[in-house]
Parts: sequence; C-alpha cells; structure tokens
Amino acid sequence: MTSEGLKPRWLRLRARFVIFVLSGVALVATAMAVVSHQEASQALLDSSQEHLLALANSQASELARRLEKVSAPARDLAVTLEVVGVASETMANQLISQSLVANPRVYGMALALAPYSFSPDQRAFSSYAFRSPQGLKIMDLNSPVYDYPSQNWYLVPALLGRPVWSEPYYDEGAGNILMTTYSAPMVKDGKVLGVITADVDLGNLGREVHSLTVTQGGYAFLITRQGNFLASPKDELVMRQSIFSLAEELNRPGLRQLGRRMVRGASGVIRLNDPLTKKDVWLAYAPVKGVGWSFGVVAPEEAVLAPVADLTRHQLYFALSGLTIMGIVVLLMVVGLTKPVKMLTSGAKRLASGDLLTRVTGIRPGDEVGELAHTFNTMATDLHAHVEELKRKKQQLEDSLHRIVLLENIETTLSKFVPASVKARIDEAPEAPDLNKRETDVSVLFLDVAGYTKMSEQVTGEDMNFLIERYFSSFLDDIYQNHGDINETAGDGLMIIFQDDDPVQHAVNAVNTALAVGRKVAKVNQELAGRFQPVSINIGVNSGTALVGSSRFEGLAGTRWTFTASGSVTNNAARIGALATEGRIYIGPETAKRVGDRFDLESIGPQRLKNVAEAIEVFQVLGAKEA
Amino acid sequence: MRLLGKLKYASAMLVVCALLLAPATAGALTKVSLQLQWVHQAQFAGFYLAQDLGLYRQAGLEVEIRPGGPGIDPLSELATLRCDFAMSWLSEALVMRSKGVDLVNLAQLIQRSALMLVVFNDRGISQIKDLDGRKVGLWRRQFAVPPRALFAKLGIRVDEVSQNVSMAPFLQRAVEAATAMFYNEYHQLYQAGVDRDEITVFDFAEHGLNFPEDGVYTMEDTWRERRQVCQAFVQASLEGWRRAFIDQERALASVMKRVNEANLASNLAHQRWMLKSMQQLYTHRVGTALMGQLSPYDLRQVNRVLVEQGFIPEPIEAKDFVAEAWRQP
Repeated sequence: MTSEGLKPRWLRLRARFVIFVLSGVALVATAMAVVSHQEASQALLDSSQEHLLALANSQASELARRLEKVSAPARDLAVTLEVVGVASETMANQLISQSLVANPRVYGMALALAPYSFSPDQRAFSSYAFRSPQGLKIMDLNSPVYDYPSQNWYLVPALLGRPVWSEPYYDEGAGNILMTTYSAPMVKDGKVLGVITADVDLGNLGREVHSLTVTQGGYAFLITRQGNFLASPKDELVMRQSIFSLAEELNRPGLRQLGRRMVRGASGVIRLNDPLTKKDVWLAYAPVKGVGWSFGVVAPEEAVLAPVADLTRHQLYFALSGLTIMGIVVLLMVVGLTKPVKMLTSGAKRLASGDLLTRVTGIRPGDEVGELAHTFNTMATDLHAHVEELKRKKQQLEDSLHRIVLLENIETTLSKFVPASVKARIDEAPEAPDLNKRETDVSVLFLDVAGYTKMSEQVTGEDMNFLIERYFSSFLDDIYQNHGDINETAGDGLMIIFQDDDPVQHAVNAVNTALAVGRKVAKVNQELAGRFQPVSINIGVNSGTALVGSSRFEGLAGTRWTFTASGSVTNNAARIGALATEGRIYIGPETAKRVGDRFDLESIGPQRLKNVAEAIEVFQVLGAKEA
Repeated sequence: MRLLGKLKYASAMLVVCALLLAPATAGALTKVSLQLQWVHQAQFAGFYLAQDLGLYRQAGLEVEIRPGGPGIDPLSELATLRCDFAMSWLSEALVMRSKGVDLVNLAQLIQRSALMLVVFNDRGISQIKDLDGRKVGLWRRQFAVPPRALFAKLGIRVDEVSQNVSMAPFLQRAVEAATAMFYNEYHQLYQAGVDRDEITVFDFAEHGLNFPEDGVYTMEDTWRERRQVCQAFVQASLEGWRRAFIDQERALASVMKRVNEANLASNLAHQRWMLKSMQQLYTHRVGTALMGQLSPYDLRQVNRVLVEQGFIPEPIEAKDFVAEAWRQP
C-alpha cells in the first residue's frame, strides 16, 4: 500500500551500510589527514628551509675563509711595504713571487706603485707574478695599452684608500684569464703609495663553488656586489650576465628585488622559478663576509619537499591501510547484522508459502536481532496453533452441517409420521414446543378393517402385510388432503384426528375422508378381485371437545411420547365405529349436526354405547348431497 | 622522357651555378672597410643588418666591418688609409681635421648627445655646481670636452679622475660622479642593481652642449674620387638602420651573433636597450627620412666649444667638411 508511492532503494542493505560507514570514516580520516599533513608539511618545509639557509650560511663562511687565504698575503705584504718601502725591482719581484709560491690559492700577485712614486722620472713601476701554463712568470705590467693606473684593480683601491675585491674581468695583457682581484693599497701618511694585488682564478673559484656540498640536483652560485656572476652552473653567465640583466631579459622584477637584497648582504630563503633550469626551486642566500659577495644555494623544490613527499606517502599509506581494515571490520559487522536478517527474510518467505512448521535457527539470542528471531519463531508457533485450531473448528462445523443435513433428512422422513397438529405446534416454537394437552374442538375418525381376524387366518403373514399397506396406502393421501392426523395404527385400524379453527370444517373434512376411504377401498377391492377376498372398511366419526396433546408413558425401555386426543369424543367415535358393519359410515350426533346440510344422513336411532350412560343418536352417511 | 628529365636537371643545375657564381664572376663588388669606434654592440646594429640582409651586396659593395676597442683610434686608422670609412664623434673629427687630416663627414648619425654625468642621490649633489672639488670620473680625449666646457662655464673645478671603460669606480663610490653614455653605461648601472630613482643624471644636451656623436667619415680624396661608392655605402647603411628600427629583434640577432662570436661580455637585454636608445638618438629632430644630416647649428656650436677649449685654433668650415653622402642623388 505505502510502498506504491516510495521509490525502491538502489542498493542492498549490505552495500548501503558499507558505503555510508566507509565514506563517513574516509571523510573524517581525510579531513584529519589533510590538517595533519598541512601542519606537518609546513613544519618540515620550515625545517627544510632553515636547513637550506644554514647550508648557505656555512658555505658562504667557508668561502670567506678560503678567500681570506687569498687576501691575507696581499694585505700583509702591503702593510710590510708601507713600512719598509720598495727599494728595487728585484726586491719587488722577489717579494711577490715568494708570497705567490707560499699561497697556492692565489693565481697571481702584483705590486704596482703609484705613478712617479718610485722615481720622479718613471711614471709606472710594477711587478706581476702569476702561474702561467709554463710555470711561474714574472712581468712588468706597464705598457701603453695596459696602463695599470687606469685599471680598476689599481684605480678603485687607490681612490678609496682601502682594500677592494674587483668585479670579474678578463685580464688581457697580463694574467690572460678570467679573474677577480683583491687589491690592498699601501697608504702612508694618507697618501696611496701603490697597491698589492692577489688574483683568484675564476675557473678555480667556479670549481670550488661547484664542489661545495649542495642538495641533490641543486647547485651553488656566487655573485658580486654588482650582481655579476662569479660562479654559476652555466659558465656563459660569468662576465656576461648579472642577476639584474637576467631579471631584465626575463622581465622578472621579483628576480631583480632578490638580486638587490643579495648584493646588499642580506640572507634569506625564497621560492622561485629558476631562470636557468626553468624549474621551481628554493634559493637560500647569504653574504660572503669580508668580500661583499653573495652566495646562493639552489635546491630543487622536489628535494626541499622530499621529506614532505615522504610524509605524504606515509600518511597516505596509513590512511589507506586504516581504511581497508575499517572496511573489513564494517563488512564483517554488516554481514553479522544482515545474515540473521536474511535468515529471517527467508524464514518469513517459507512461512508465507505455508510452511508453518518452519523455524529460524542459528541466530544468537541476546540482541535485538536475536529477539526478533525469537519473536518470529513464537509467532510461527502461535500461527501454527491458531491454524490447527481453525482446522479443528472447521471440521466441527462441517460435522455440524452434516448432522444438520441428516437431521433435515430425518425431519423430512419423520414428519410423515408426525401428526400435522404436532408439527404445527413445533413450528410455532421449535425450541420448546408446547405439547401439553389442551382442550380443543376436534373430529375423530376411527377406521376398522372388517374381518381382519378371520382374514389373517386365511392368508399368510406376508400377504397380510401387503394387503394392509396396499389399502392403507391408497387412502393415506385422502387423509392428508383433508388435514387429518393419523394418530394410532392398531393392527387393522386407524385413528385419525381432524382439527380446524372452523368447527364445521374439520367435521366436514372427517366425513369427506370417510367417503374417500370408502371409494378407495372399493377400487382396491376391484383391482385385487380374484386374488383376495374383498375387504370392507367400517368407519365411525364423532366431533366435540377433547384433550389434545402429548401423553407420556414411562417404561422399562425408556420414555415414549404419544400424541393423541383423549376424552369421551374419542371413546364415542371408537364405539360408533364399532357399530358400523359392511363398510358403513356412522357419525355421532354432534358431527351430524355440523355436516347435516352437506351430506345425506340417515339416523339409525339412539344407540346404547359401552360405558356411556345415555343412548346417543347415530347417523349413517349415505353420501355427499348433490350441489 | 628520361633524356628530357636529365636535360631539365642539368639546366636547373646550370642556373643554380650561375646564380652562385654571379657575384664573384661579375667582379662588380667593391671591397670597402668600416672601422667602428668600439667593440661589437647595438651601437652599430644598422651596419650589421645592412650586411646580413645583403643591402651592401645589392649596392655592389663588399663591406668589412672592423670592430674597435681599447687602443684603436678609428680616425687614425682612416688617416693612415687602413680603412675606407671610419666612425667618429663630430668633435673628434673636427680636431683631426684641424690637425691637417683631410677627412669629411659623409653622414651624421647620432643627432643628439648621449653623454651624461651620473651621481648617486645620496651624495648631496643636486646640481652640477655641487661637483665642485669632488672626484669626477672622466673619459679621455673628446669625451672630456663637453664636461670640461660645462665646468668652465659654471666656473667650478672638479677633481678629474681618469675613467676607464667600466663603471666600477663609480659603483664602489671611488668617484662622486662619472661620465656615462645613455645607451651604454647608464643601463649598465641598472644591470648592476642600481634603480633609476637612486641616481641623478646630468644630460649635456640639456645644458646647451649637444655634441652630435657617431658619424661616418672618409678621406676627402676618397669622397672626390669614389663618390658613388661613398654614397652607396652610406645609403645602404642608413637603409640598414631603418630596417633595424623596424625589426629590432632581427637587428638584435645580428648584434648578438657578433657579440657571441667575439666572446664579448654583454647580454641581450643590454643590447636591446642600446638599440632602442639608438633609435631615439638617430631620429632626434630629423626623423628617419633625413637620417645622416649634420645640423649646421650643431656644427657651429661644437666648433665654438672646441675653439674655446683650445682643441682647435679656428672653426672648421662646413663646405670643406660636410660631404652629405646620405642624400639621395
């Protein structure tokens, strides 16, 4: 009824359970995993960044320490010569070559005096020692083309009066390599006497920077105060590009800002797209103290994020295994829940198909499902009992109905033997028929087969019965048609009671019956003529008030009820009948009085009747009056 | 059929050979050489493009473009006939002419002076007068003429420091001010991480000292005897410049090709800036149509300053000096 309007479920209970519970669990687990992953990865990322920055700082310090080994000899020599002065070219050559030999990191060293400071007639005085492919070489830097006083390595420290690291340059005409030069001025009394320089081979510097330990897949680089690359993974950047020219070429203002922070000596970590590799990288930068350069360490993002990736992998692994276990647990639980339900369902189906003896077994008691199974079984038991009861009742009903049919049959048969007046009384009140005697106006007819005794001696018993039945049967219908009740059969006679609300009518009925019986007897006599002696029936009729009802006779074999009309009317009728002979019909005075206008009567005079004090007038019926 | 195919093939080959051999066999190409003032850079982009696009070849010329550098003086090269054409500033050419080298100006290319003085904003120098007594980096020879003229006009004396090709002394604050070319050093400062708003620029052109710079020069004799060659060269060069301004990336490719071949310390961004600057300097006042014209006013002014500064005893007359090879015949 209600299911008509409801959409059917898509999924079975089991699938629904698993999906709902699992998705719920997965949702919660995912949310927790995301939060924890974000926090953890941020922490890891922070530590990765710190690590990278620490690396940049330590390596920048290491680089500063190594460069100090280049600058220190030049500075020391400058301080020495400030005091002792330069006496000769030989001395100058000796000093710088000794210092160069003692300091393997230095590619070349120069001693260059301020113009005209060595002697008023000699503008330039210089000595340069360097490691040529052919070994240590000493030369004079002075030439019209080179003009060292205008070279930056000389000019800038001379102007500033303090040591300076130069930008990278190709020292054409002297060292003939890409280099950067540390220049320490010799200052005496505020006057610059000259400079002592120490060169760093950028090829070596580049190799040293490359050899520094950096993150897998990463690299290190070095830029000057002007952002020029001293060392980089791409050699062609050195001398050609600065971090600023790269930013301009790639139109990346962010890179320029980074460069400005770096050349100002700041340190930090930044995430950016590497202009060289075009990959997302993390860059940590730190100043190379004492030199004014900036050192950068670049690590590919995947390397920086590697711990985060590991974490993600682990968390994912745990989440998936947890979810799988959870799934199994849920599945087991659901199976545990739905299995009894399935059993109950199939039990109900069996029950529905009529198997009332079916029971659901194997469901453990103690929980709701157990209760349900118990209830189901109880219900089946009850149902079975009810159905059995119903069957029994039905059988009883059928038996009752059968008996009723039998009774009806009995009634139909028996009613033939029950006087109509009794039937009427029973019909009036079937449950408690009033069969008590009542004073009723009746006509009583006695009928007697004349010569019965003599005849019974002449014919066999069998023939006797045939004859009785043949004659009696012939006029039974006439009796019923005239509403007569056969009250007594006594061998060769019948007593018939006629009742009617009209006192004349039952008297008429009685007389009509008598006449009919006479005609029937004549007819049967004629049929049986030749085979048996003819029979005559004598009839007496009397009318008046009699006690009509049941009389009870108690006997040894039980109680027997008879229904009769008793009183003088009956007695007189019998006596009147006894008077008749040769098939005559005699009626009493009362009857005669009632039917006299319908039948031809002939008085036979007053007659003395046995046990009757007065003589009464008896009439013979001759026949019905002609209409 | 087969024979026909072969014939066709052979004739096609002949045509190709003819085309390939045509310039050589024709012998019509005149070999000339151009001496640049400096190493390869976008300052000379138009010449490279004229060569790479075959404009010189079309004009019947085979041009050798010689880069300059420290120690190479283009006008000396010209005077000694080691080249046919030379690039030079107008002022330097006038000085040479007054020294008796009979050179002529075939075309004035840079119309506006790109020379400037730069100072850091944080040094308390808001006008040129403030440089009085301070260290100022100056290039030698004619590069020093406009500054000296200006300082003299303003009545200040600066501590002149001989400036080399790099801006390192300025960047390291070894000098208070430095001379710079708008198209070169000014941008080098930017590429050294100096923002534009960190420096102040004193532009000589804006201080009444507009010295026209790059021009093409040849010897008077050459102009007289090989006028058509001179005209062909100058006009093809100017066409190269016009093309360079239209298709700057193509021109930059020609520049960078030479920069890389010479293994020079420069980068594309810088050359791009230089080429854009060249467009402004070349077309200043004259547009692209009159590129090459030497303004008589500028000539007079440069003459005057040179005389004042004692570089030349008397002004150089335009009729002897200006050849106008740039004009279409």
